[in-house]
Amino acid sequence: MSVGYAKAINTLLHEQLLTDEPFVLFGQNVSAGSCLSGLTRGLKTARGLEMFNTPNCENAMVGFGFGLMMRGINSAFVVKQHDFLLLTLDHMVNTYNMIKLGTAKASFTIVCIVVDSGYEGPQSRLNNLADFCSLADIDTYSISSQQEAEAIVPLLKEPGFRIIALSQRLFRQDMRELSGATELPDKLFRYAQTESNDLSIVSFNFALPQALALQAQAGEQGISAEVFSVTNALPKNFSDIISAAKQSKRVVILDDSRSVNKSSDRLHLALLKALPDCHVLCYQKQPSIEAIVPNLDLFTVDHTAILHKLFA
Amino acid sequence: MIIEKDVIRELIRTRMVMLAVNSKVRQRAFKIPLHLGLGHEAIAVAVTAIKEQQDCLVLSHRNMHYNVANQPDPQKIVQEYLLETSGAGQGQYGSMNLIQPEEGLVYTSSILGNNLCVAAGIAKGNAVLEAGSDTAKSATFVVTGDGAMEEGAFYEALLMAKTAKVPMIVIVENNGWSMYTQIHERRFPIDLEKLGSSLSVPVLQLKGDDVINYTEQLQALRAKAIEEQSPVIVEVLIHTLGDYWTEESPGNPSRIINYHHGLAPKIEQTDDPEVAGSPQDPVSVALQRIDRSEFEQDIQEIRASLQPILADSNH
Repeated sequence: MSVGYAKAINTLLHEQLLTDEPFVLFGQNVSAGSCLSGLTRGLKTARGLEMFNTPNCENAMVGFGFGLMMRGINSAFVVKQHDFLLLTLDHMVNTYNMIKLGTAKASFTIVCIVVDSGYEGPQSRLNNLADFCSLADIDTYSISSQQEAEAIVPLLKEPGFRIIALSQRLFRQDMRELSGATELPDKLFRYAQTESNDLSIVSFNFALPQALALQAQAGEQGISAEVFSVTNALPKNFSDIISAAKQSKRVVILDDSRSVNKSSDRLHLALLKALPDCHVLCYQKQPSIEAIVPNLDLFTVDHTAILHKLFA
Repeated sequence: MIIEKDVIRELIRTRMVMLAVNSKVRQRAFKIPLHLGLGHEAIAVAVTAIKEQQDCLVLSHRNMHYNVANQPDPQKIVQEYLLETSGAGQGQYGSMNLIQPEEGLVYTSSILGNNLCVAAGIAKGNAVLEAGSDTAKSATFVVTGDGAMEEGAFYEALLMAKTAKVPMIVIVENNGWSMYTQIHERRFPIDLEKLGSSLSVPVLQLKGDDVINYTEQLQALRAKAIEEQSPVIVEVLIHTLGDYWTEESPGNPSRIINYHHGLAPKIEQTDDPEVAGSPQDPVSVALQRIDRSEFEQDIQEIRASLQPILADSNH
């Protein structure tokens, strides 16, 4: 039975927080109205959980979370828009630096909804996780499938600081439960039906739907394709992807983020260095003035053209 | 119980340690930036005197007076400034971020306003730990300044602390300066009483540099913050010692200079605790309560304890 993206994550949050261990969850409207489109609905019934709605003080709220962390209390700040986290950069960088010197005892997680659903215009559309997190090398994970959610949501209780990013575009869809899923180190996921493949597709940020569509179309043409979903905004090594590319000799990189400093560029460079004979195509969102005005803001790739370039 | 003589002795010690540091700054012993708190000792010693073991203290970049007041061994402070592993922060924090968690100094920030938000979270964390238990309730003290309270974070942190219902005591050290501009040179006056009242946050003003008076008032305010589970604001009017007037020259009128960081150039003494000898010097104010002759032996002993620091010519 299919479950909506938000509901699936809500269920996992509930499971994680159904404990007697103290946990503080806070943010605007976390227990009011739609509860962030259902994301935090019903959580306040979990034992041990203190949940409260906050004023619009994002800067203070991130500092607050780090303060809780310093006293050994696990917490999460749930925030509607990635854009609002821009107001918190002082704490993301400077306070986090103090945490790194060893003053923290617990976990602090920011659960952030990236507003990538389109028609927002020049603001309220920030989708730059790699740029953002690179300022302080913050562990940041995007969730696009049930398997990814099951691996990433439990990080809520792990000591340390991280951001878990969700896609507002995916809120309107059912949560994808994918067959042939394997979790690899660094929260890298592989989705494939066969061990060796003719094509390796690598998705970054929230480009998994586009990657899966390309995989499906390849399959219709008798081309076996594996999909790697890079959920970590700042992956540290690409060895698993490079090993796969050694076999397939054809790689398509898809990245729907607007970061200028893209992790997909680092993979592209790594592939060029390690496998100079590998055919690599890279598709990314390009900045433009036209992209800033209200528009669908959908990351589109021409599957037919891609497959023709690689296999014609 | 607060013993006047003990508190004044600590005031004198804190002053003398900072004078020793100033002399080392004059010798160019340190690579890191330092912010002296000469003239700020009364509030630091008062907070230290009334702080309970379960309380937390959160500091800003000008924290030397608090770190010294909370560290009986001045060598550890100086070694930290020299970035030695034997220092109070193992050489990892320098001056602007120095913490001493075992003394309750749990966080220090050099970014204006940053520490207020973190302090609200620390206060909440303590409240969660204390909930449902018989342990004594804590308060979280956070130090800021008349410059830092201009940051949006000041308002946000107060609102957050009030919303979260936590006992956070905000100490605004108001010396009138933010780096090299005085209040009237850089902004419209802020009525803290009204700002506090807009959030039902009590505001107390302390002035006169009387460490004993500050101790008594802070003790009462701490109890109030805990009883009401609310932030409170204490504005302390301070005169940073060592500012001076420049010489007038053609086209350049005489101007008062606040040295802000580094050397207090006009303060040259190293072993006498009284600097200004006026009501603006908290040591002089304290010695009006109990005559200096009662402390001459303490002064000698402190002087002797600082000799290794002053005599170290390698640094």
